[in-house]
Amino acid sequence: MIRNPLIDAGQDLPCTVELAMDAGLSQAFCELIDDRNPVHFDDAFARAKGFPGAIAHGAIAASLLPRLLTKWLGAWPLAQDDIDVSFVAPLLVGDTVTARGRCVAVEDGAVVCELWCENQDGKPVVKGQARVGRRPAAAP
Amino acid sequence: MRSAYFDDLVPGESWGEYTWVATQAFCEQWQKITGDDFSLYGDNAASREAFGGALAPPSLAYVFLSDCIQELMPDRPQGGVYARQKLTFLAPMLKNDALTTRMRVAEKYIKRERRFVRIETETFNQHGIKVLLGDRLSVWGG
Repeated sequence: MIRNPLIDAGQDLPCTVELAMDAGLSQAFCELIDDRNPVHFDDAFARAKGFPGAIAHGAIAASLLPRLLTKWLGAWPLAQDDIDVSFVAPLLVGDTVTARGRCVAVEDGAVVCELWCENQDGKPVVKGQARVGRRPAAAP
Repeated sequence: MRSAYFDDLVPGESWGEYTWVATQAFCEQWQKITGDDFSLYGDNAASREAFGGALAPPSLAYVFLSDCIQELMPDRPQGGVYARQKLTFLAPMLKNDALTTRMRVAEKYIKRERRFVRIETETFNQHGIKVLLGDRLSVWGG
């Protein structure tokens, strides 16, 4: 197996990040970006649109994956690092979401990680992949 | 106003540019919402030594790229869904940077009776340094 100073293929990332997506946070974000779409705060409106309830803005769920990488690596991103996220299910207001990751490959010293955010039922709401370029080995 | 309906979009066409400032107040509120208190996002000796100032959280890209599309395509049909976003980081973004994003429609297609539009972005800071590439796929509203 190719080894990397950070992690080896098949290993889980050594940390997670959790966020309780309560109505106050959702509303604060809508106010921050001046988004008045009622799907983010009105349960009845969201149900009429086919959701089980009000849904949080996708940017909040997606933000947990960069935060996970920063928690793990400290300095992230460095130049040429990338992250690719897909929104696979709505994050509902009231959900608690946890970001996790796993190293799936080490290619030329770069680490390829599979990342995801899952809700309290273990259902993925965001999936992603990140390529983390070579980092200097930690001092002994 | 230029139409941003699916049938009117032309792959390869530019939609102009939009400048967004990563103000201290906006960054701090975003950090409060996302619970992100990474030390280099603060103005301290470490961030000044390494980057010349406090870093802006990279996750802000999800916010200002959405804002960019909203601003450059105000006539975009409602009901679209944010499906996927790839970000490639090229240089650090600092708090109070003025970030200018150039946007183009890269591709459009129909799959399983749904309209998809792929938008590419390039973001530069106020010094003209390219800091970010974006590639976003949306299910288009109409």
